[in-house]
Amino acid sequence: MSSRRRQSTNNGSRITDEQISDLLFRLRELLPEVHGRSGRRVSASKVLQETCTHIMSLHREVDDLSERLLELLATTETSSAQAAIIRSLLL
Amino acid sequence: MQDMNAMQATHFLRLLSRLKPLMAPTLPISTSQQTKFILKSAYASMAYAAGPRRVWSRALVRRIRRNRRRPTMRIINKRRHVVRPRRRPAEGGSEELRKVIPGGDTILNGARLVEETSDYVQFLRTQVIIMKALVSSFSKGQHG
Repeated sequence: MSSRRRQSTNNGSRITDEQISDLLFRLRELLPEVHGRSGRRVSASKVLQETCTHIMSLHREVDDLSERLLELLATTETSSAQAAIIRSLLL
Repeated sequence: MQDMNAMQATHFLRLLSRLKPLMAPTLPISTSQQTKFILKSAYASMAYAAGPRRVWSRALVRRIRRNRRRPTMRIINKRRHVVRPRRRPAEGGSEELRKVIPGGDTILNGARLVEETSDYVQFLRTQVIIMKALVSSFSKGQHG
């Protein structure tokens, strides 16, 4: 596939309302339940904004958890603890 | 879905296990570098668990490897091109979202962006759950 081919169809470049409700449906299962949201028609930009905010807060959580994990790894005694953790996570 | 979580956790633990030797006092690796190592492991395990079918997972792998090597060279039409992410004009208010999804600025199709987003969020949330479980396990381990 030539890397120079332009995207000739524009039926996908704007996010349509249907795609928004699709995203909303999928994300509703993942996002924290927002007060007053269910059943009401929400603007596209609002959903996009909420999703961005949620993703950014997840990024921050991963950051914080990385720091905490490092602290704990530095101080915890190894093999038996790690074995138990591995077991509990994989079962 | 349970299998995916276990796979992601396995990847993460395997990557984490490489950290211990790096924490030896003889090696001059700073705390912030160690934290970065864990952070990269977190995103790497998300990407490996998702596989190469996703734009975001490929972009994450590229981003992680970029820190070590020169930009990937690809042979296109028998000439070497340094492949850089292509900037596209943003459409329909999704600029913010594209910035936040790895490789998002290369996704032109709105429907594809929706798919990638919900997929990325799922793996992100799983990663957070895995790391929280690890933190609480280690914390408990210290007390008993």
